[in-house]
Amino acid sequence: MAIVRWKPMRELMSLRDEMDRMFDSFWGENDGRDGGMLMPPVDMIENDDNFVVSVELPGLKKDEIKMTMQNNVLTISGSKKHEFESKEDTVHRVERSYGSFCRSISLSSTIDSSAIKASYDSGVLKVTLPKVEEAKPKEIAIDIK
Amino acid sequence: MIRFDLIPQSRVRTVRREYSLYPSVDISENKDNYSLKFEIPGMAREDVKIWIEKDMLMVSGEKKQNLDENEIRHLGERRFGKFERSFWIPEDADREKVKAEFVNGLLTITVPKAAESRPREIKIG
Repeated sequence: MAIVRWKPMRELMSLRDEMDRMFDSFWGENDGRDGGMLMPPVDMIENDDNFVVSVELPGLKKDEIKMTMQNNVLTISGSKKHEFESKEDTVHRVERSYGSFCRSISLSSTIDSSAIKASYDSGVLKVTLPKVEEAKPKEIAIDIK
Repeated sequence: MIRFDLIPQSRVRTVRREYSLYPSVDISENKDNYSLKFEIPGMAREDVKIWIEKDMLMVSGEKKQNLDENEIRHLGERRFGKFERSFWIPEDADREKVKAEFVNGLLTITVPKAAESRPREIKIG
């Protein structure tokens, strides 16, 4: 290990940073820390043809995620177990969150439930919910007389 | 023995505003390896960088967001941007044999212990 010269101010400043971070996370402000597992962060966008829901579920396997669609409510649930099952492991730091989660998203009734598609790639579940034909924006040419 | 730990490094602090992400990490150790597991869902493999600098293991990356002006955003809870985290490497680590894999948004860095520092059973002759 390299010998590092002790600078008292440096420790003081890093303490201040830690305090900042503590307050930030307490108030749920953006300190850049990713959302906990119990409340996986969700993005939802809408384009002309689809609604697209993306959920961050790092470290899960495809078959550990459950997804249902009922009464236009999309529900994504599952649970994440920690992997330190071995007694030989010494755990030094745990920042990741574990446990079960359940997120429900209300969608408009204009979704074609039979054509919902989902994929899971690099820890992100992406659900594509196509709109029914009638709900898609259409251009209607009107003759001006 | 020196363990893996976070470094409240002055360099990190001064540029902290540039880093909007702070990925969660779990650190554990067994008799052969140290293991660091980062949650970085939605990040492309080529956007993650791992390197060793002096006695530090550095991990940085950028999570990019594809924004389309024609889309309506209803929910935006996911965070995007850059991160950098650094860790002391323990004295008994074999830094030539550090390995990393990225599966399902989970980056696992394995730092093997040097052979001479592993527990070794000695048989009575």
